[in-house]
Amino acid sequence: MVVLKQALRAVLLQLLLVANLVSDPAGAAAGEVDQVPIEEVVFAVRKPGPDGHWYANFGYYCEGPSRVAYTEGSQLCRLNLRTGKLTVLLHDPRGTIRDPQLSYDGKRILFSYRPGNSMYFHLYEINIDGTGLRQITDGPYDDIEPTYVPDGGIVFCSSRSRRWVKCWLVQVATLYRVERDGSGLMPLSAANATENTPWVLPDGRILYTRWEYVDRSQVHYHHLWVMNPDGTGQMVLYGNLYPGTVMIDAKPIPGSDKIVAIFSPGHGRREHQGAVTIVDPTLGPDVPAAARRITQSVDYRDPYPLSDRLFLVARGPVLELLDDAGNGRELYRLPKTLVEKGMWLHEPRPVRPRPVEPVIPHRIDPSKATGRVVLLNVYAGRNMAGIRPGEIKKLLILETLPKPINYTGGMDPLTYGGSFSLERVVGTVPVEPDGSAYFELPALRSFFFVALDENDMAVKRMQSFMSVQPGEVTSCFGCHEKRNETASPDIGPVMALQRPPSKIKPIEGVPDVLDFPRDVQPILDRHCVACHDYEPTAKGGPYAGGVVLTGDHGPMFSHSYYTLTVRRLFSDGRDLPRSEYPPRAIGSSASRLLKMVDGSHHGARLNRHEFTVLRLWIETGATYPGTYAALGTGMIGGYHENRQYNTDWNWPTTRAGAAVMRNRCASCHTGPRQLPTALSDERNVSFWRPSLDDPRLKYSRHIVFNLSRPDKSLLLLAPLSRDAGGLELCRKLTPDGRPTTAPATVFTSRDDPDYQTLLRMVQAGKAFLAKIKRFDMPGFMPRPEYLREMQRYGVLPPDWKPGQPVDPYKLDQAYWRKLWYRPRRLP
Amino acid sequence: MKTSPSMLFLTIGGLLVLGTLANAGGNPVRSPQAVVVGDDAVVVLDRTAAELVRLDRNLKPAGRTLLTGDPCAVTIAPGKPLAYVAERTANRIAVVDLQQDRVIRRVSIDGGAWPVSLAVDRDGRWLYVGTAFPAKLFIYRLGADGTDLEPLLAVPVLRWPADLAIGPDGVTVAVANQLPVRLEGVTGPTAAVSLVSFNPSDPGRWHRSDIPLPPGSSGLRGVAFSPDGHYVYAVHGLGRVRSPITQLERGWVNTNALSIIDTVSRRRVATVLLDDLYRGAADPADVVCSPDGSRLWVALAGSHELVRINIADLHRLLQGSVPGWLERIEDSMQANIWVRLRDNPSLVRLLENDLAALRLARVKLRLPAGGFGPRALAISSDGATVYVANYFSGSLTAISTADPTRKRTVLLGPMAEPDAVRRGALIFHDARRSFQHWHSCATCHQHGGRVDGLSWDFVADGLGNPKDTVSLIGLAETEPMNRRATVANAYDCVRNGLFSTNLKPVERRVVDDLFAYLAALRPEPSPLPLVDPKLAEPARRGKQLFEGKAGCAGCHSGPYLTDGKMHNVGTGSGHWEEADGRYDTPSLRELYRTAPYLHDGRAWTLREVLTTFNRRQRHGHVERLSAAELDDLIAYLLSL
Repeated sequence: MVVLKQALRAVLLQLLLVANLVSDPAGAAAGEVDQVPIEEVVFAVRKPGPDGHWYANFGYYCEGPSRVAYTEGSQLCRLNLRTGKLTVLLHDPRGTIRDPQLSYDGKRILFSYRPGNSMYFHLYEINIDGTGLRQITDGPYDDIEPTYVPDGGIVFCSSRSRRWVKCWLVQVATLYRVERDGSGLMPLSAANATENTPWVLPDGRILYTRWEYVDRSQVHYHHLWVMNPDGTGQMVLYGNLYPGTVMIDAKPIPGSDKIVAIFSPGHGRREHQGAVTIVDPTLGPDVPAAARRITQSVDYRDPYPLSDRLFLVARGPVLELLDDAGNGRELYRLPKTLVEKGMWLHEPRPVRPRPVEPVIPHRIDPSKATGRVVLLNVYAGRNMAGIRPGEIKKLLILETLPKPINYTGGMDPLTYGGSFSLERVVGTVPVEPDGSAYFELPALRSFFFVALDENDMAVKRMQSFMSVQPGEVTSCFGCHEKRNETASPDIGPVMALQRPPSKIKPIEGVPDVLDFPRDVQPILDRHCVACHDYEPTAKGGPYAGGVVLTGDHGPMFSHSYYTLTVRRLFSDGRDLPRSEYPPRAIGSSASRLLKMVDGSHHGARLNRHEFTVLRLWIETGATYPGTYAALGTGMIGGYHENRQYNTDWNWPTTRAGAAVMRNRCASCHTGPRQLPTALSDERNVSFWRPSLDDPRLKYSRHIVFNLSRPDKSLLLLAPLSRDAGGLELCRKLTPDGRPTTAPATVFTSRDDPDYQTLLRMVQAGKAFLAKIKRFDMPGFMPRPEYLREMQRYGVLPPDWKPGQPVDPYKLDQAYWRKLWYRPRRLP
Repeated sequence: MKTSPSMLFLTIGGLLVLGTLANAGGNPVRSPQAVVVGDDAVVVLDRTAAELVRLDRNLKPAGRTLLTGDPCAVTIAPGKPLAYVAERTANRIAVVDLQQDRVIRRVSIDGGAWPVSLAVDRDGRWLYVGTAFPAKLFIYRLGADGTDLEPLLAVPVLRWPADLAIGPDGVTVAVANQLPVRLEGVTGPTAAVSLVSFNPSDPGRWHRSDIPLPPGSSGLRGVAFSPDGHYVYAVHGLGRVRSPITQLERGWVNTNALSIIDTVSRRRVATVLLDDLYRGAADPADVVCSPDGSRLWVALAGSHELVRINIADLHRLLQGSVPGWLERIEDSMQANIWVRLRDNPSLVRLLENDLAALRLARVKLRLPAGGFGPRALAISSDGATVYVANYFSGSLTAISTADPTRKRTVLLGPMAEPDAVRRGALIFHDARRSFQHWHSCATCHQHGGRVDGLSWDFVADGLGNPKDTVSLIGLAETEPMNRRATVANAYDCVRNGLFSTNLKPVERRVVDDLFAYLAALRPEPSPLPLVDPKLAEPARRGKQLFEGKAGCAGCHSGPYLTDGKMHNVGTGSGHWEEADGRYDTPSLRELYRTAPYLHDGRAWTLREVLTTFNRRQRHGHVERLSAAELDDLIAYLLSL
């Protein structure tokens, strides 16, 4: 008997030792969708969001609480698949329930819930029998998409990050964590664009969706990332190089290295809909062949893997069981009454325990304000051919800045087809001769780097961002090294580690966020407009080379700003689905303007300071305003939700001007030379991704109307004879429509009534602009929505009243500063 | 991790049967260390039970031979029922008659101690024995009946010849030098494969080529020849020693590799990584090649898995033959590594750092080993079965090579319940204890808690100041821990090892077991005086110098020869994080096996410690010694 007991003990011990090797018992047998290997599921019922953007389903739009993105009427349900019995665990006819997840022991459900009498989503827990509803988070913010993590906490997405989607009208949610009792709430991410659907991987890391765009397309990079549960080690898992597809709701497939996710085509669809796709991340993040789409339809949501062959999935109001060949079988459909209300079934999860993943201990130090970065060898990496060892002397550290509010899908008036963000010049850190660098970065802010040569010109530019946690020490190998590679063993002792970490050295005498009219235009005024104006001077001009660099206002931009952009005098990433450029292909090194200011271009020579301002303006995305308060203001025919407003189509002065253009101009100005018939007339040129090769740009509304000196509008100067004080730019055409060199003087005198009509058209624009004010005009006031959010964020005091003067540049800076991490003493 | 339910069933079933039958109180701890396949037997060396177990065709234990002296390697005579066992600490080869299951002869090794590897050529003419101190390859001519061992020659090799493989010609041997050495032309310490060949008709003439693995390689424990003798395959760890240990992801600290050596050109032609991008293939301990040369099988002692490599396909890829389906797979908007390699063969070095290349090429399969701690493999002569010796399970697994999901595991015999020390040993060798399974404690602390010969840059004492791996022997007796005394006591050191090195939080019982294992480790007396008795007298004189005018005993005092204090002995690197130049006095036990020396491993010999790196005489008054006295002192140090 004793022997038997001892043998049994030995057995139990062996069982303990062996336990880890046994796979998930629900990893089903062969992909037979006729077998349903689970008994019960929970799911949420609610209407889909009002908007085609996958992330637009919580919070209010920029207009304010009167326009919300959430829907009303929702249930949390538990369904027995064998008996068909449906139990409603929670029902709120005006509330919204979403994102349930079972606890590890299968006894509780964690979910996000907006009660009907509230605007906000928070995290809740409930027992699987519907008892014990318990609220975990609160506050005037939305907390969604929670997941339990192995150390006992919860990771979720929240709008506590207080920023707006940079290219839409709704709010951003980024990753946070909290303990189950609601304490210890802390941000994990500093991202400026939306993050979604965290879920724990078998090795204990958090898998999530990260959307980003730093100097590249806003509609192409929303892919799969990972981080540790303390926010350290943020790195890409799959994607971020090949453009396109929203990869979302990703979950690990038990017993395998693979992941199942929804791949939504292009820039995504409403409510995460897409095709169910299996990804093998062991091939590397940038191998398109590693993703295998298993459904034809892109109407699927929320895949839950039961094994590598069976998935629960939602489609409209239906719960389906899907196999890995894409064959589906309906398991349950919402009752007709709900379907008629437009209700969908969401987030099906099996009710059963699941193994706890390994705990990754926290490594952050909340008492530190910074983390440290070790760059081992900047010269290693993709697309580095042609860079000589030792060529890179510094890293320029830039910060991509969050937006407090946004009103539309384009980037106007921040840039014309370029960056959606302001970027701050933080400073530089040195790179050692062996290519290494070691420096401190402020914690929880989004930084990116430009590798500079000895002349501070850009060699390589990072078109993504990184952030570090307080006390985090992280290292990377190269400048965009291939992501399936590890550190080479064949490097010498790292020079940068032989000294303390560099602190970022700010750049003296230059504002950290540049403003074109304030900082760049004076340089152009001093060195360029003597020739590049509408009027001649002793030095030269007028209209030298067909280039205008004055600060005259057009309907949206200044003439100089527009000209520099469309004449490609600076180089940036634009809004293109392209990154990982060869060396010196974008940024300062590729900018013609910087090569023309050393005296070689008609003696134009900038001093050192002026050159630095120009260079840094280019490196920080070459924006027009230096404040986000400029968004949605100061434009005729600007955009709100992608539709123009403050338009002049119906102004009598515009109508009269359009008639004149029809009579006096249209016979020659056909095709690409067609003139804008209103200050708002884009003539079908894309307002957010114009091609700089487009011949229509030469006749754009942005350049032909001069709202500062209306009589200096090209619209008026071009057809006016020289004798009358014009530029006489119009040319006679050949019979088949090609310009000759013979001038065509349309107006020989300013007294021509048609000339006067056109003049009045532009003068009306000037008057209107004076009324609405652009950011660079005295008396400019930010929009009420901007001020409302600043007050909500605590940047403007609660007793601030509309009408009281504000400095938008200071407000922006105070807003960003408020988001900075504050070191905490440990208790 | 997946496994078949049958394995679980057999393990429990086997235990139940054996448990009820045996005397539970007196059972040994069983640890299969090696396995060889004979004509109609599979022979397993059980190290801790100190017996050779002969299994019949049905894998039933059919006979046992008791051994002594920490037997750690076995080989079998082709065509004869004879086995040769290395009885390490007895410095002997035991000749075992497998029909009678008894040792019929013991042959002492003259001029070398600690035999750790053995091999016989396929014609049964030569027995090769690798000894650790000094590191040598002994070659014996076998008599006609295989029981006569005539010493022929001894070729010096590099360091701890953990494995031997013999080429088809019978006289070319690949030696796996487990630990790193400093080699000319290599940027850092690294392990190397020695290719030794000799001419039987002129045995005084032998040839040795040392083929270094990539810098940072250590734990080289397995070599195998291709059947045609053209290639040698070596499996080893590849440490990324130049990178600070800031993260484990993406193999930032330890990776695990297969190196391919061309025996004709005597060059390493490629090194590929066995790991996956998100999961290491920890502690490769052995490699065998299928008889048709198409498959390699690698045992991963830390991950408890085998890796099967389609080596014939890999060779084709390395020669630039890329199948169409692979050609079409794009990576990072360019051709993938195999296509780029085809178009530019000089890029082959990129494979050393590529964690996805083998997956992309679909030449790698990972499968459960059938037990814990697979340390040795053998393959049947028909290539149909791979046998796996599972050290911590006390079992042998037989895997069908045609369908690796089909396997059988048998226990070698009744086993003792694992006590805290044994449980701690498993924890120490278990890579599942580390984040993404990149390494186990044993990866760096090889041979039961000792060293890997490499220096690592931990974050705790600053960055850019790597430290030579410390031996854990005498952990509890030599507090504080680490070169900069960053940890006060041994228990905390053990806990931190789990926490910071492996990134797993601490469960109390795990720390206790691990601590029990480490506390039970004892230093092994130096075998060098045994090898050369003439060293005894110089060592005795050296001891007097040590305690006398050389001034060593001032700090190197007590049973472990350390006063537990920090001192500046003039070896400061000038690094800003260690401006005071003071380091914790290390124990001098086992100096014979813990090279390199000093806090950053800059000294590869004790002579360098005392001379080259002691110019200012702050580390011993060596200038007071004559040349002969210095030799004596060193002899003493090597005898500890």
